Order: sequence, then C-alpha cells, then structure tokens
Amino acid sequence: MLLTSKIISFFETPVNTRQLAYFRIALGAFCILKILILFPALNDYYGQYGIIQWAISKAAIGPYLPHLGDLSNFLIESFSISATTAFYTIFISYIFCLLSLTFGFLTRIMAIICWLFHLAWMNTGGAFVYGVDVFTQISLFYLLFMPSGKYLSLDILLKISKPQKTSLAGGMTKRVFQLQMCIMYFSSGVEKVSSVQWRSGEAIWRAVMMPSFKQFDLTWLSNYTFIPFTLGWLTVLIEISYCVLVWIPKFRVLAIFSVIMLHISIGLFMGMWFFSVVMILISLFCYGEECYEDIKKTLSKYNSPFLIKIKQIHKKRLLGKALNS
Amino acid sequence: MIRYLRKVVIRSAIFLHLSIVIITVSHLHEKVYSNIFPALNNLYSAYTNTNRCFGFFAPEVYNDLSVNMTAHSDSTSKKYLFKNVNFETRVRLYSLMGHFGENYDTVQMSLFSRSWALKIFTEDPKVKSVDVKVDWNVIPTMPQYLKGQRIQHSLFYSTHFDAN
Repeated sequence: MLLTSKIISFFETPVNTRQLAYFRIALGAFCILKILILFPALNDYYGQYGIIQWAISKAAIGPYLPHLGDLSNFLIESFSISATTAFYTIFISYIFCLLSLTFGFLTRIMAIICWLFHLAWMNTGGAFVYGVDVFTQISLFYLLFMPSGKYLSLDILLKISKPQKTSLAGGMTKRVFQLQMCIMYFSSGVEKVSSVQWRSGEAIWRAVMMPSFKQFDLTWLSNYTFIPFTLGWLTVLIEISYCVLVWIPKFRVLAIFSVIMLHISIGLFMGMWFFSVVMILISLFCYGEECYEDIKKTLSKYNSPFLIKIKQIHKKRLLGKALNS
Repeated sequence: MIRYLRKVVIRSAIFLHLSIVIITVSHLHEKVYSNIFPALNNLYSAYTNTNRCFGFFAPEVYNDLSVNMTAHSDSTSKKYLFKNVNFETRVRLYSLMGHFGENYDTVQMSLFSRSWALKIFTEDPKVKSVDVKVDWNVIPTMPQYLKGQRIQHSLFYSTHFDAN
C-alpha cells in the first residue's frame, strides 16, 4: 500500500507552468528552424517528384497515417490550385501553426495540428528521417498532454484561457517523459556495450572517419587508440548511468552536463547539430528545473559564510560613513 | 465517480504507455507470437514514435554508402548530384543512403533507384538513360589504418534505366 501511494505521488507531482511554456516556445522555435533550414531543398526532399516520390513514400506507410500527398490532393480538389501551390500552401500553413504554438495562440489546438503536420512531413520524407525527427515527434506527442498555454502565451493575453501557476497534468506528462528518456538512454547504452566496436573504441573511430559525417581530419586518432577507447566507454557510461544519476540530487547536474557535452560533441564532430539541439532541449526540459534547484542549493550552502562576511563588511562601512557624517 | 474513473483511465494509460515503451526497447515484442500485438505496436509507434528501438549507432557503426549517378543524353554524359546545401541536408542524405541499404532489401533498393532515375528524367527531358551506382565506403580499423590501409569504395548496388 505504501509503495503504491509512493508510486502515485511520484507520478502525480504538479509542475510549474512556466517550465511547460518554456518548453513549448523552445520546441516551436526549433521546429520552425528545422523546416526552414531545409527550405532551399524542400521540393527535392519532400516534393511530389522529389528524390523519393510521394507514390513510394505513401506506399511505405499505413493508409491511416497522414501524408502530404493526401493534404495536397485535398487542396487541389477543393480550390483547383496547382500541385506546387498546394505544396507551398501546406508549408506556409505549417509555419503559421508552429508560430501560433510558439506564441501560445490556441495552444492546445495548435499542438495537435503541429503534431499531425510534423507526422505528415515525417511520413512524406520517410527516407530522410533520423533521430531529430523521431525526438521532435516524441516531444510534440508529450506536448499534447501539457497545458503549455497557461503561462507566457497569447491565449492569456487575449483572455482565451486563464493563467495557471502549477499543473498536475503537466507534472504527470513530464514524469513520463523523464522516464522515457531514462529508458531510451539506458537501452541505447546497453545496445552499445554489447558490441565489440564500442568496447574497443572502433565505433568512435568509424563515426569520425565516415565520409558522410567527416568534419575534421582525425586520422591521427589511429596513433592514440586509447582516445577512441576512452571515448567509447565514456559514451556507454554516460548513457547507462543517466537513468540512475538524474534521480540523485548530488549527481544530477553532472549527469545532465555529461549528456549535454556528449550531444555537443556529436554536433561538432558529426555535424548533426539539429539532433544535438533537440536532445539538449529535451534533457533541459526534463531535468533543467531540478538542476537549477540543485545548483542553487549547493551555492547557498558553500557561499553562505562568504556572503555573511560581505554583508558584515558592508554594514561596517555604512556605519562608518554614518558616524563620519 | 467521474473523477475516480478519470484517475483510473489516466493511470492505466500511463502504465500501458510505459509498458509498450519498455517492451519495445527491450526487444520483447519480437518474441511475442501474435498477429495483433505487433500490428498495434507498429500503429502506436507510427503515431507517437515513443516505442522504438533507440540505438544511436548501436550496436554497430556500419559502413556508409555513397551514390554516383550519371545521366546520358544523345551527345553528353554528366554526373548528377542530389541537392546538398547545408549541414542538415548532408545528414539527411546520409539517412537516405542508410534507409537504402537497410536490411539489404533489394526491393527497396530498386524502388529508391527508380525514384532517383525518374527525378532525373523529369528534370531534363533530353536525358535518355541513367546509371546508378552505389558504393560502400569500407572503413579500415585503427590497426589496419596504421598499416597503410585506407577507405575503400566497393560496389554495393548498380543499375541502369532507359527513358523508353
């Protein structure tokens, strides 16, 4: 009974709506950047006669999943417009919805539309999908259950919804998201440690040597095999320990800092900047507030005698000035 | 009563969601001999993306693939390159080639290469035929690299398409 109530209270912890709003804004802005960076090649990657034609990407998904082809056909039939106009109308509508989500206008509805839109883009460009799309979709999915428009939003400004300080639904969703991240990093770490490549450091070597990702000439690493070996094990260690360390206040900052550094390295050495940013963004949402509290606590503990001394000196000076005058 | 039911539904949904995620990442779903569960699991994954096997270059970092296409018209032959404008399109093209070689599925390879050829034919009506050649970039291990071995390009897939 005690365990059940502990589990329930673990999940049913309210969260500050400020956190949810920051996550909404960051995710919305990220999605806008993610689609805008592809704009110069948008038609090649997502267009009807692009690198992978719609007929192929549509056949690869189930009939129940959204696809830009369906939306485009609907627009063409309804408004008698050309296929290109329909495609760019969808693009502009998506940007508009993302902007609305970012600014918190009709937040919940926009969260649903953006989630479906993102899914449609993913299904259309299925051949180009990688981690960044998967984690953006996961984030948008969790955002559906969060009242993210209850703080810093146009909804409040226009009195569409009332401001709210804390949210139980938001807290529960955040908890599930935290657990999802733990499960994800742990499983990824276990998969890595089961492979000889990761245990010997060859995986790091191969990742930086692959022509598709090569950013710098790191061939000199072959002379210092202990570097890829250490980095390989460090990656495994960071991923496996994440699920434990983030729940221990003493080590939480270290765990999040390590994960952030890991993703910055992925961006720097493999050029996967968007993937790195979304992973950092998720980690900061999941544990950022807790880390901030941990840092504040630690600082107040270590700085208190120092601060007291400064205050005493300041008081003495003020007293001296008053006496002199 | 409604409040109680709502609580039960939410708690059950969370339990079910996390169970699906754990079952998938631990590969337990592959051991379930049922037609319904994999179908439901795939459907849930397709919408939420939460229940996937998150590997991140695990267990292995495989050799990457690079594509070379040549478009032949009556008088000339020229190389065709996919639009690669920034760091993000570079990663996207890597993903494309990863999906191309996924599970060594020849049907998928044939579909992809047909799609590429069709794009070239659509862009330039003068093109009569297209050659598609996909190379595997075989990366040497660190000791092999020290012995003088370098990245080798071995043929992974090749095909030819005529406009007619």
